[in-house]
Amino acid sequence: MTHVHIALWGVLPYLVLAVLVAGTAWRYRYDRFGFTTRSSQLHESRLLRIGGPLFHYALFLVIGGHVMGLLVPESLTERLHVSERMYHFSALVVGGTAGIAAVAGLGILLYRRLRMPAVRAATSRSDRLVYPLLAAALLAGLLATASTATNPYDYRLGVSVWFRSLFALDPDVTAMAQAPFTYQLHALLGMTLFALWPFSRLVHAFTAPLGYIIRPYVVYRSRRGAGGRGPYRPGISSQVPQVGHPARQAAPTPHRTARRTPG
Amino acid sequence: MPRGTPPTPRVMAQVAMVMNLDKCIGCHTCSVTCKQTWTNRTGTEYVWFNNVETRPGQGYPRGHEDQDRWKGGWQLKHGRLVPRSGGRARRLARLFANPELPALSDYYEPWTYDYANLTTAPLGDDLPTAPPRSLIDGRPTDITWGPNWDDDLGGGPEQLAADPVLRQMNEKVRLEYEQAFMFYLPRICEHCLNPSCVAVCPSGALYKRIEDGIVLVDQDRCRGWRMCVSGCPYKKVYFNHQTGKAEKCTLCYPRIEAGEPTVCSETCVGRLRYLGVILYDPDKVGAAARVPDEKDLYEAQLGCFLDPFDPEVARAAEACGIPHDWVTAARRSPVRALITDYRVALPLHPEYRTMPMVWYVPPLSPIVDSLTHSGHDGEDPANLFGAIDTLRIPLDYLAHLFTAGDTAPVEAALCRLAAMRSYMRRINLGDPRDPAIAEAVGLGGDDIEAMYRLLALAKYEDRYVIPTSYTGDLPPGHAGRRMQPRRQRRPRHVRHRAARHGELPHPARPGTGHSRQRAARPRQPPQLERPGHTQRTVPPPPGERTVTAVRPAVHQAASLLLTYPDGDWPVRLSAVTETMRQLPGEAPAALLRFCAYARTVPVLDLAARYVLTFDRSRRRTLHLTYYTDGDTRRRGASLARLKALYRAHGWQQENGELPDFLPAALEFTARCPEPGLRLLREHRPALDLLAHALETYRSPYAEVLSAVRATLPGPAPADRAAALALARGGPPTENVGLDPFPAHGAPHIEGARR
Repeated sequence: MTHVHIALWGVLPYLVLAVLVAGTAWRYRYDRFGFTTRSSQLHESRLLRIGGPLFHYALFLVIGGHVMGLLVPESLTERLHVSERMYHFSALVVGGTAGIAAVAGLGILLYRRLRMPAVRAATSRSDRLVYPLLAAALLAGLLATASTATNPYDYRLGVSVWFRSLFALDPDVTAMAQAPFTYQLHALLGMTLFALWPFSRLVHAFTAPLGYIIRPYVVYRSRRGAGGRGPYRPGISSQVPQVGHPARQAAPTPHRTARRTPG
Repeated sequence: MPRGTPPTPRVMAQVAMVMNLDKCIGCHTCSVTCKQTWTNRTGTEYVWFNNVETRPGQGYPRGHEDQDRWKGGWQLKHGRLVPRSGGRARRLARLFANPELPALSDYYEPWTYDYANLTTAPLGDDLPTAPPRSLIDGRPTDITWGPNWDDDLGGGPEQLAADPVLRQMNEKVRLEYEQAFMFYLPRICEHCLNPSCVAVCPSGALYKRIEDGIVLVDQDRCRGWRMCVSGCPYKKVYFNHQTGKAEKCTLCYPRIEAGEPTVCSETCVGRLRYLGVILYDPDKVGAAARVPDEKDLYEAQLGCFLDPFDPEVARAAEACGIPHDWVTAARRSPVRALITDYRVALPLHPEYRTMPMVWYVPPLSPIVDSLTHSGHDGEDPANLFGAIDTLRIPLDYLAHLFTAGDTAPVEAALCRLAAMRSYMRRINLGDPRDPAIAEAVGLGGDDIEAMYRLLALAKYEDRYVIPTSYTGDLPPGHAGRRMQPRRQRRPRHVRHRAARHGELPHPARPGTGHSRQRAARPRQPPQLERPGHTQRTVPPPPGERTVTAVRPAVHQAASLLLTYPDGDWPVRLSAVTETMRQLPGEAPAALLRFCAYARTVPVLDLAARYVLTFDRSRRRTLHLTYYTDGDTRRRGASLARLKALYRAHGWQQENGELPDFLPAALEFTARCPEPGLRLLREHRPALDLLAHALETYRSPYAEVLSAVRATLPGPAPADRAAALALARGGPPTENVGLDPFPAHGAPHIEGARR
């Protein structure tokens, strides 16, 4: 166990977590306006309609697979009479398919971004950094998944143990240090992504509109921010003491025009 | 909502618009001024919150009315309202690519020209050109479509064939149609009562404002899911490709809140837009939007609106937190009059079930034109009514736009407009009024004349009746503030309505209706019959005694005479004459001279003269602070000071005039002589300037002003220059230390902008 291992698997994860949490909070506080998908569908729709859903839905499966593999300990699946072989086989098939689909989706999206002039023009600097990283992390993960077909390394006894130990505040550096290189690379790329998360367009993942399911269709809000959210209740909004700052800027500021000269 | 409350309706207020299509000349001034104000930014190059389409035509974006393709609005599914593009689950499932999103090419690819090439092209035989370049990716581009490509039926039958409304109609009418007629359709966001863009927004960023019903996008909550763009059947929500957020028409809410019309309305050359408040029952909206037959939607929406003259409704409105001046504004609302009283305005595409709130008066001109072209008298009632009935094609097209295909309401509206033309033509030609024409369309002669005033004369203050937004601490009766002197009188269409409800001030009662005395500090109102009444205790010198004695009566009389001569003018005139006859002195004599003149002039002529005299020149405005403060920020402070003075003396204006309106100030002076005289003395320069201007204009109103000035102590400045010098010094108030940016003297009168 060298200092490098301690730094990478014992210290870095906490730094990344701190950056992720603080960065997101900072961005939410100071740049809520920047929380957006920055969609480019207006410029190009045909490829996006294949690539977008393919990538995102595959990513959901991939995330689900990570939750299964990292958070569920091997002892639990054994108690449920799921054999090690069967688990890995299904993980390989489902995870592999999802991974390939995600890579294919991302491939379409990247092709579109590079080859469509309008989409390319709408690409920001942070996109240029995040897209290659995302692709590399996906490929490394896919490689690691593929390697389970031949390699006898059981990540649930190595990487997963390290991952869970992070949350116990007692990082098991050895478990990760002994993992194969592809796993280490995948973990490092993943951590880089998490560190960049709050400062890139990836934040839009944190704004998944789940509240929409239970919300009434039509939203009413009061001009004064206070007490205006939610359904309209007569007499309530007008009785809210009107203190504090006026309502938030609700629409873009109009460019100032010259004062009118009426006829 | 607390249950078990009495069954009074729940009331909400909506600022709505009506556009009179007969008057639209397709000049696009509204579109351009709107764009200059709101969307002249990167990311919104292709966005027009307001656009003017030629109909028949495809519109902007192309074919936006084809809901089979765009899936905008609502649909009925097993009796329930569901967004046409699907319910919540389907929306979320389509989060990563919206299959119904219009592409940029459906709007148009914005472009600029490579002007640099004109000066930097190498020397050659050919004249250099400025080739078009895309504003999206900067590359050379071909211009193949624009925001108004088929303007004036440009592109001919080929483009027309793509009009979704035409496609709904009979195939064979198309070509004939093109010859039949064409009109312009200006469109903004409809600010619907049942907005589908709000319903499909997954983030809850779009919302309908409780106070005024304006639909807005919270830019901090929008996440760029683009559902609203396809959810709006009118395609009036746009995606800013630079910021990744949705943007839409805001009904210029910063202006509306200040009581000002929207930019598109303010700059409308044809004066065809109307803005006003409509009260409605939000609990009825859902059921109205759910009526099974699309053709019933127009009537169903009418059923949601509440009558602000109904005392029950007014009570319920105030119980729901709607301020009193909003209820008053709803009574004066031109929009309400056109929609519910005269029923000449119709909603745009009610079949989308969004309950739109920008309504349209259908165009009669094409029918009159086609009659005239065929050699008939286009304004003869018999011809017009017949033509409306036989010109089925335009009627059918209009019905598909405004009433989901039901021609009856469109026909009725057109007949009312036709009746108005015929009825008013008789008056203009000096023929007797023909009540039969009015009765034929279910209106009274008064209604027709009021409608004529609203639609044909279309005065600024009749078109825009916008209360300022709630601020909570303003006294009731505070109506829309204007940035400039503008006389706000009750629109004619309201006066009729009010008279029917027995609302007009009793003609026998003296008083201009300017004021209301608060019960808290009652004061003796000046009696015209008892002019000697005064509050002074120290007897003044004999010469002044006469002046002092007649002062309140003179002031009250001048106030009555300087108010717009409307229906009760004869009563006012005779009351003033009788009283002044009994008084000695120069001032009553001057007033009598004016009364003698006024009796010789018909009321309508006098009203026209009044408007010409006081409303058309800033040198002769009746707003006192305008002379000293112009349209600067200082004017606001001066107005507030006046208002505070009135309030301190328990006196309150009621009719929404600015406090510096001379008749209001005079009435105050009549009631509270001491502070009133102080006020008038303070504004002596303004009075002198006005008097000089009236004399120069040879206006008989100069007599009234001279009477008022005769009641003021001190010598009058010799001429206009002296008065102007006084006015430049500003009113004698202590502004030192109050003004953060001290102006160097008052603004030059001529330079003050109206």
